[in-house]
Amino acid sequence: MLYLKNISVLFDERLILDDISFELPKGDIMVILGESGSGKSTILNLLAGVIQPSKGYLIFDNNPIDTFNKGYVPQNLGLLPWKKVKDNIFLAQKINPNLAHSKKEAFAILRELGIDKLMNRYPAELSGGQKQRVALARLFVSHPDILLMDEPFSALDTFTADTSRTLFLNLWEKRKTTTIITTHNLEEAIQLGKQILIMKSEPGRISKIIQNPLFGKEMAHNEFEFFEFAQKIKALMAAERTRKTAFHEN
Amino acid sequence: MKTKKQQSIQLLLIGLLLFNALWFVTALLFQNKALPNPIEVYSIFPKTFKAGMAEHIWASSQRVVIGILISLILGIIGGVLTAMSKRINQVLEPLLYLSYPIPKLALMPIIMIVFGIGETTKIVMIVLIIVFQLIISIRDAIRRIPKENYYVLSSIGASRFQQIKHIMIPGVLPDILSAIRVTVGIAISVLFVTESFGTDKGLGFFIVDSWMRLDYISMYAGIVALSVIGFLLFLIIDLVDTFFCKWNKI
Repeated sequence: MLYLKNISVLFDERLILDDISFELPKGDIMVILGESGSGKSTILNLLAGVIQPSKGYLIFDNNPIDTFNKGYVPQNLGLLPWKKVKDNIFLAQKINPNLAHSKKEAFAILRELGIDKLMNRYPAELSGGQKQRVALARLFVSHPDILLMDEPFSALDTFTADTSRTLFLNLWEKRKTTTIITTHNLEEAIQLGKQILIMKSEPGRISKIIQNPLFGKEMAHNEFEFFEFAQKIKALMAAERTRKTAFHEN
Repeated sequence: MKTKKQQSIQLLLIGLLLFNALWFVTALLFQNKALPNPIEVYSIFPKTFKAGMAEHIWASSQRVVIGILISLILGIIGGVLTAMSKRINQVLEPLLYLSYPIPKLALMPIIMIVFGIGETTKIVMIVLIIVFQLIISIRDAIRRIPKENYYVLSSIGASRFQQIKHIMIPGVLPDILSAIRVTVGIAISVLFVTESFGTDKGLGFFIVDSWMRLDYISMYAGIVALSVIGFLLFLIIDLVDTFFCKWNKI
């Protein structure tokens, strides 16, 4: 289980996150949905260990989260332009030999993602979709304990994003790594999140955590069930926006 | 089919040929003793070498290379410190911005009083003039690296040293090389001025001495030798760039 208990983050005396608490069973995917500035990325940065909470604690598998390996995909994918695709993918193992796993499995992942022929290219020689797949490969090849993805599909066109999400789910399905993904795309949240955490902003707080009944179901976006669930989440987000506007007007 | 290397050499030779043709035509048009044509200048080289020009070339090359290397070391230290520590930057920034615009050649008498008229003054002058530019270029290049790139590595437990090795150094190398390219030209100009007095070794001395003796052909031979030093330094920088920054040429 992943626990975040009463987490607050102050930055330059400004409250960025206020009293964030949630739990996520090991091997589940949670999608954090919220507007820009609602603190989604801050939660990921906390989990990644790049910032520390001003208050509260983070526990995974009954231990402090710092003791676990995290795979992190930032919004810009974090591919290093000066390293070839193969060096980007296997950089984690080079840095942390504990992450080294069988080459056979690594190459199976590369083949599954269709990037096994791109190993000697530089990121600048790849399309947006190919870069995305390289970032996914880097994530899964290193077998982290927790996957953290910050709006990883936001820079892609609709078709490529959809393909990348499916590739991600296929890889995740075989490994069931505990995953947290941030997004501001509602459809993406429904497609990827077993749990959907809705954030409210200024400061970042949890508005609601919803179990996604549609998770894992093959479903077209125009089907009634999908539409109904999307409307429910939209209504929650709209209510939050109204509350915020009313607060500012007063 | 010509390779890229052959094409570069061909273009380089065309450039050299054009430069000399332009020089030749200008000399023909002016018909002035103060502007000999390139054939006259190149043909005097064996004589000037016999008369000890190699010593002058060696002295100048040593000074400029040592000056650039010391500036580079100080530039890297200053650039890294100011980029990584807000406090150090706040302390050093006013000092940098106030001292950067001072015409350092005006400080030459003071430097001569402090360091004497020997080698140290010449090298100190080069360092004083180019080090600020290097510090600022390196600081800005470090700041331009997206922080997410560091997050990817720190989330898998990379040490500070590993982050510097895999992200900072390769990320700023193209900017360091660009900054050195700019400073090589400045360093050679400064070298000429500092070698004009207080020494009997160096191309600055050789050029001024020939000029005083109205030996314009030898004077031009000195100028050509100085530009060849610059050219070779540029060539070395370009080679390092081609070898280590392939990714930046895509």
